[in-house]
Amino acid sequence: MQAVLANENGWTEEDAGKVGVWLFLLSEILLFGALLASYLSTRLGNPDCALGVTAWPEAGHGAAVALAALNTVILLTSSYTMVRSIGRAGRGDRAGFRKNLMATVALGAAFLVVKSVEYTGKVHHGLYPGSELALANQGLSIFLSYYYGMTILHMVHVVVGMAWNGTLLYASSSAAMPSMARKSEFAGLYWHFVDVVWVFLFPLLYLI
Amino acid sequence: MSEHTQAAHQRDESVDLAVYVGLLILTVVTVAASWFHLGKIFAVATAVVIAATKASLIGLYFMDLRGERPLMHAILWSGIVLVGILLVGLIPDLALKW
Repeated sequence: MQAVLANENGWTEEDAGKVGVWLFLLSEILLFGALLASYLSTRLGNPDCALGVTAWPEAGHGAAVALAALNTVILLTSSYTMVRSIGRAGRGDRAGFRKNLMATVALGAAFLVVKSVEYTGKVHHGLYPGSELALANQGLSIFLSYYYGMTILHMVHVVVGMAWNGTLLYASSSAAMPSMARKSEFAGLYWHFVDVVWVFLFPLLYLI
Repeated sequence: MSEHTQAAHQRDESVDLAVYVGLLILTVVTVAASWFHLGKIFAVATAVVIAATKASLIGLYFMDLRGERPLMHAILWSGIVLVGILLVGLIPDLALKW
């Protein structure tokens, strides 16, 4: 078994790494928190873009909600496969670790595919900033800017998470399992955070 | 290996599965709640409360915050408190427009 060094307070190298990941997540909380606060104050306070005045037009909205709900299930499932992969890595089960991590990456890809189908439908209905529909309705234009800004930013985070997990998957064919367990835990914290962001974006962008 | 590290690596898979099923149920509740016309403040409050419950489940169980060191909790809560201050700071502006 690999020896793990700890200081007099019991802090290991892994604990120090976790502090680094949590500090990074703190900056992400502030980024998405500020965006959501701005969005909510606009929806609640701007008479041109207030709840019950302007949100999604009826055209294509039912399909968009169904796709967004499907994406919620996909990301929650990917978080579940991520914790399974970390558990398997902790037990030294290389095959189980790789299988669950592969599922996590595949589910991330599925999220992106569903999102592109949804974007295609929106563009088809003229729901994008600068379209004739948006130019004729200032409130809708503001709403669409928030919608695309936040969902594209979130998608970038999904891509980064997939790259992180993909790198671990590549390395896990030969790397020592204790090391993979530690690294997958760091990647898992980030991946779960990406899931948490979507948990807030889904109801606030699609359901209110 | 430290106590915290060991706890994170030895997972109870039945608990993880139960949390996952709970998250799926809360997703159904989120969509169902939107079918009721609750009024704008209640609609936002309901959406945020359910989302916060789901986020807590993910944080406590999937991100292992239950057995984590106080420093990680302090980092997380400093972010939540700062976003909370931002939201509270917006209230006077919103109140003037209602």
